[in-house]
Amino acid sequence: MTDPRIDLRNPGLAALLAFLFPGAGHAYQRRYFKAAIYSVCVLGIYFWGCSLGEAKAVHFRWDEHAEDGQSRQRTFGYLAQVGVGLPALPAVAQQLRHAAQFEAENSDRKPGEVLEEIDAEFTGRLNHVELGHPEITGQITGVVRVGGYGFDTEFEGTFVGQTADGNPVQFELLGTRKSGSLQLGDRVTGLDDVTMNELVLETQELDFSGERRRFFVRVVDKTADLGMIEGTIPRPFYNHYLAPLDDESLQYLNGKLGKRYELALVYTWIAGLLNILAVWDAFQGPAYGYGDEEPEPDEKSSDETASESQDNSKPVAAEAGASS
Amino acid sequence: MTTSFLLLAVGHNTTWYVLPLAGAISLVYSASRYELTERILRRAARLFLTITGFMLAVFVMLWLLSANL
Repeated sequence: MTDPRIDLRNPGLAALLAFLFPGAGHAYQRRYFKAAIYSVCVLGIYFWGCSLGEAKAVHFRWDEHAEDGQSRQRTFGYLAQVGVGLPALPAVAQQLRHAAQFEAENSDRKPGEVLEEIDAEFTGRLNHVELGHPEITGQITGVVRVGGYGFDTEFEGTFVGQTADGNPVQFELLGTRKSGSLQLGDRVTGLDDVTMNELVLETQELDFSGERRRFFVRVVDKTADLGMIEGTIPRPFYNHYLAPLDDESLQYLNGKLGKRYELALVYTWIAGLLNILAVWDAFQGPAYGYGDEEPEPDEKSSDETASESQDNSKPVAAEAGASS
Repeated sequence: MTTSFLLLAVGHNTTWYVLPLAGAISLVYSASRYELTERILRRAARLFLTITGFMLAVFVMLWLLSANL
């Protein structure tokens, strides 16, 4: 039974608040010291973990099917991380959006159905049979559609921009994923390989980014193939924050961060699990009691030793009476 | 030279990451057991010392076992 000196107010509401934001439930119950402990410790450990993992340690993936030959991913660790509440919950929405995108691209679809409209700033390189390989920047506009016969994905649009030395350029773009003339990074993903095709493939190193989205498409003049533009377009924050990662991105992160990524996972797991204790405390009160009860014999002896060493002879029960 | 190398090794050793983690675990666990501030802090300090002491003992044991390897 909860100690009558502790006013839990509405325990259900307090537990919900404590789950959504560590410390908020206790602040609602006016238990400010505990609120400070829970918020500083849980959120401190959680965000430190996020920082160690370069904001990619928390993501939720629950694939029902393997994707493109990759293994089926289920991030059981997220079930611990979600204990932190609001800071980790967007990962669920991102997984749902990612799954919806996968479903839209891989289910039976009507040819010509618009999957996405793109109007974004492009930066990259032009591989052109006449113009060579200049760096280009400009605006991409177009639509991603379902290809013919209800499978594959195609892009049709335009590029308007300029080369690095200021010459204006404009192209018609047309590519299909199946033919290899369209490489479009996932709309919703945490990290993506954005490497351009190097002329000497042996020296190519993979480059990953969450903020940029791979965009390679064929440049055409009527039906003649003139080359490709290769580069990236921005991926908005809401499309990569806490979004799922694929196998390749996870391998990249583990290779780049090494132990730090493992530490990031452990920190965020433990932060979520610790908040479960806080939620229960908000709902039911402290597990052992108020704290001024007679200590266990072994605890009593060590407490006495500690009291002597700190020259603190004030009885615990007396303090409790004073504070209440 | 050796001292600076050791200091560098100590500074980059990921084992140190356990200390803030142990501190947070001790505080949160103790706070979920009791209500009284002083009791929470005292229990948290004890738990922190227990965790770090246990890990130190394991570390020393492993270090001794691997001394002649």
